Amino acid sequence: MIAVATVGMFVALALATGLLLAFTPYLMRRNECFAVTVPPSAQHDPRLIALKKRYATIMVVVTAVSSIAALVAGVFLIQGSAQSDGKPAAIGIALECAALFIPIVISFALMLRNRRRVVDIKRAEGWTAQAQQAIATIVETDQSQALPLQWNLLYIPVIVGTLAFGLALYPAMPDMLPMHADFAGNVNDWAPKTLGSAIGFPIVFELFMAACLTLCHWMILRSKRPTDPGAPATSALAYGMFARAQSVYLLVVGVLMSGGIGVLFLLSSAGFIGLGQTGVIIMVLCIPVVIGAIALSVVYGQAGSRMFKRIQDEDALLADEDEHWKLGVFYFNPDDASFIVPERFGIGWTMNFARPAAWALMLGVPVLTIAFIVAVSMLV
Amino acid sequence: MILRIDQMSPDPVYQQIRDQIVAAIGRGELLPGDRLPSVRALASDLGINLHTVNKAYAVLRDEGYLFMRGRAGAVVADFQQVASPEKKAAQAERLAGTLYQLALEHCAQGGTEEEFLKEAKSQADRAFADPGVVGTRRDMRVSGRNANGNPLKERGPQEARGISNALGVTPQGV
Repeated sequence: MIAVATVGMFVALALATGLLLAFTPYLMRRNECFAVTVPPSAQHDPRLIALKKRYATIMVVVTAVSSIAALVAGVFLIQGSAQSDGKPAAIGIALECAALFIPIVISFALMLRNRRRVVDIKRAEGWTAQAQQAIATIVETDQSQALPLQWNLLYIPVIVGTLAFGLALYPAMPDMLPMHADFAGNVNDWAPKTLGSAIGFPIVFELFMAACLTLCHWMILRSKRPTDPGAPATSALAYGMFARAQSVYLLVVGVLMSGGIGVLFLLSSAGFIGLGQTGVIIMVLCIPVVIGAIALSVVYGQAGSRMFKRIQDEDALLADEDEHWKLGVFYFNPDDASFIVPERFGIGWTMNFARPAAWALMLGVPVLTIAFIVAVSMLV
Repeated sequence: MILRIDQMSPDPVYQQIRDQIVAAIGRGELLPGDRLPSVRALASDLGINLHTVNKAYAVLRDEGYLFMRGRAGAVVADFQQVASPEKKAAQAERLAGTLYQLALEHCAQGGTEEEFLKEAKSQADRAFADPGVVGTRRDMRVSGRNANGNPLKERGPQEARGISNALGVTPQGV
């Protein structure tokens, strides 16, 4: 049961991320193609259409291969864990890492190659910007925007509820709590029951999730709100709706997942469900979460690019950001006060690496993760 | 209100921001009491430096178009109320001086007074009646105020007639 769920999760993750990578060029903004600024009317250029199609085809093939590799990896991992020889398990893990990371590397390399081709086409066609316009909407704050940060206070009742539930279940828990199960569902590691090991771990886990997801929400709120100078009102509204949808999804999934996982751990410690079954439920729950996120991205498009069907595409290039986007996806602009900006090739947000705050964040997140791991190891 | 800047234009960016906000106040898109975005948010959205937006806001404050209300940030000011008599006198002098300069230049190029006045009138009509680039003047009648922010008076029969005349409808039985 756990084996099937594990393999299913591996394959589903490889498939989902691979397909999203494959169709990313179709989800990007109208004035960008493979991380190059182009006039919106150029999206109908047969050369650019061919580049996108070829990229998607190659990535679909890579995704199929990586999904099969993930399947094989899962099988290796499960077979290997039953044996004393560590090699099959190690092969399984290595293969799974490859199945997840190699499509990302290939998509990046392909994107760079296509980007160079688009730059050549741009130079040949003479698509230069006659202006460097930027738009900001002022005062119209009744338009859509991301949820306010205060909504993350919803994590507090979740954590308090988990604490109360844990305290209520504590007397009913056995003296040795199951901590690890193998793929057959048999528990093979226990820890003595203390408040820390029984209730501490779910609480610390929920706190960590709340901290990470609140940070993500904060980043969405702090982001630059991009607007297309050729269609300021529609692009501002589309971005607002996109940011709102992403922040709502982040909050709902975060609250449900952190609360759900905390409660599941408590129930497994108390013996109501097996530790193996807990693992299966969590893995199965991951799949709709990932698929939901991808569906959201596909429906809205990056920065809301798919929300309005354009009736007319202009020829004019009103702004050109190419020089600030290093390697197409790394934004570096010391003259820009923004700290978070929407991604150029991908769904979501990235940082302005000219801001020291961006580097502080990049260091801070691993530090937070290490703090979480240390806290858990002290409790259990 | 949609603020548009162009970094390739010969005008400095802070000047563009200042001009557009003043124009928006003139058109009624920005009303006294409207909160302008924080310096950081505006700089971030426009992709420019904090200093540029700070300069624009500083110029607007000096000219009396906005004031800072502590934590609430920049707020559009009611020029007539907030500006001191010296400032109003200075602005009146500036208006007179600029018009005089334009009139002189027009004269030097061989134009007549009538042409100048005609052009001045059409530009003034344009400025005072402009509904704005991206939409009509904000309709404040919902909150019981007219476009200048003053409370709407009760409409008497005289004014009603005036309004229906403006709409091109002949009032019945009057």
